[in-house]
Amino acid sequence: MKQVIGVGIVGTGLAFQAIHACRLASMTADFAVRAVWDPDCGRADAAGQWLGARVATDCEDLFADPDVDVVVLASPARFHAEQAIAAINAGKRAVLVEKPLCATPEEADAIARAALERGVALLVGAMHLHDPAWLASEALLEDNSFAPAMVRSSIILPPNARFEEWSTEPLLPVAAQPTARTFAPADLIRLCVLELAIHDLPMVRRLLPPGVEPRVVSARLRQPFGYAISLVAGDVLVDLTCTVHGHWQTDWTLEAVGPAGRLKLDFTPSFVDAGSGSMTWQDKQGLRGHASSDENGYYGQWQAIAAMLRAERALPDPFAAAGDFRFAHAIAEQASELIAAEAFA
Amino acid sequence: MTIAVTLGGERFERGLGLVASLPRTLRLSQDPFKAPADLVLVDGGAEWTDRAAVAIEAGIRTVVVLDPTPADPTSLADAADALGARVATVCSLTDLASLGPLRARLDDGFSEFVLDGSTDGRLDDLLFSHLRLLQSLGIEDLQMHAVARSGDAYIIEGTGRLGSTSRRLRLTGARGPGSARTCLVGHAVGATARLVWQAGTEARPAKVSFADADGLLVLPAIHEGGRRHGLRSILAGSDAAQDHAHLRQLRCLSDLFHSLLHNSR
Repeated sequence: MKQVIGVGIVGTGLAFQAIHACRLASMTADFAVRAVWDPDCGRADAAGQWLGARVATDCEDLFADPDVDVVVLASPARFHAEQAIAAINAGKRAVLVEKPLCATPEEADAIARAALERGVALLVGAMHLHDPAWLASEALLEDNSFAPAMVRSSIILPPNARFEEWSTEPLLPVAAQPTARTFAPADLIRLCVLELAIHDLPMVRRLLPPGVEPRVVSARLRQPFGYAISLVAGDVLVDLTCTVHGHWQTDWTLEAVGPAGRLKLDFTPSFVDAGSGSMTWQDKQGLRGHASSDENGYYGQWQAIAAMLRAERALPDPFAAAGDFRFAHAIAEQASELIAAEAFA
Repeated sequence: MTIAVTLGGERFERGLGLVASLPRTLRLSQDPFKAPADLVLVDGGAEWTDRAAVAIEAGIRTVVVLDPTPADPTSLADAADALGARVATVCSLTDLASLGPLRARLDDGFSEFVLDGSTDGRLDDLLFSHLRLLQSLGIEDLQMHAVARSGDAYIIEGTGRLGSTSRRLRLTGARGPGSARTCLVGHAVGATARLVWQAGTEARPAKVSFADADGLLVLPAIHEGGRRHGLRSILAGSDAAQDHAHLRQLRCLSDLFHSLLHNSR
């Protein structure tokens, strides 16, 4: 019989409720939530009561819990580095950090170094990276011979709140969230990249030639919320766009086109359990693909963690996660600088 | 009425099926200069303006150019006016029958239009067809610049005016396998308009849809190709002035096209 893996949760807000708690509830043969912590005591108590988990007095208490094998960091990104390194140093076997990994490239490297030294599985909660459609794409393109001329990430979504409502109900009333108008444009585009575009950026990075640095050549915000960012990476043009509109239709695609082939992925939205994305690959040999399957990347990342902790799968290179963050951070900073410069002009 | 037709240009074969699809109206005449044709179809490849000019100077009253490439047809339009001839253009993408219903729904709420495309042919042809599509949607005063460009891809941004409102425009294109394909998305706060089209066969319909708070409206598939639809419109009408105005606009579009090719920031 397999040993159940203990999970500890830092941050019991809507992302944890809607995403991890619901998936873990259907994976009880593999996982059990053992401890929770949240700076909001009321929310922590409610989550502990709901999940039958111990409410830790603080992060350190949670990390020291011997029943906790895996820590989920669903806290704000500015706390991730300190919390991730503390969890790693406390001997946890895996740390799943909700995107973004942290706040600075230096922090990303520090987390990666700690994970490497301690042999800890470090994963970032970018669910499309674990989506079966993407995994099928990676298998198809594993020889790295495909050189796209253009990579397009297009995200068209209703507001997040709608998906949260479709997937959970808040344990406690949710405080009003800041609106786009709260932020200066240069800060807002940074937020757009690190909170929204970052879903696809690890995949975009894997479609680019290894080691190329992104150079943002154009960036703007879209109304009512969204972005349009263009960058050049080596010989590849990258088109990153997002529109969060006021109606219901979702359209989330990642496309890579080059003379040798065309890869297209249609992804399901965040929060809800809408199954996997789908993929088509077209080249001179014809068309191949991956049809939508039942489990999305949220399940995929938890299945990966279970396999890693049972030594059925190699641990990921933590510096890949750090590299993904560096890539996203560079785009965010350059886009922010462009917008700030335009505002100044 | 039977109209004699001849075909000019290096790729004249593309017009043969078009002529054959209108057998009661059009009959092929192999040599228009021995037995003058009423209408000449000219392929829009390189130097199409010269071929069209030769035709109208030979007394042809109507010249229809298939998928014109960038050119300055100003003197051709002037010559056609002077000779009482008519020169019109048809395009597989920009004369799609479904563009009319699409255009009718693009109200002031649509603040941005995005055109993404790929082609296994010439990338320049894709870009020009995208510029023409914007024009066909009624978007004027195009102010555009190349954000990034390589030998196999482009990203272009700008603005254009539709009605009295300025709209954002974003065009991306890349060389890839398969026949040319284009996806147009119009963004509004409360709606998304979408046109998806793939070249390769004349009568493959564009998929046109609108999503808003009420649901998804999918316009009926129209299995008449853009060239045939455009040609029938020309045969049904006689507004040479409008045709020549469009012809003159091609110069502006061609100038824009060339500036986008040579200037990227």
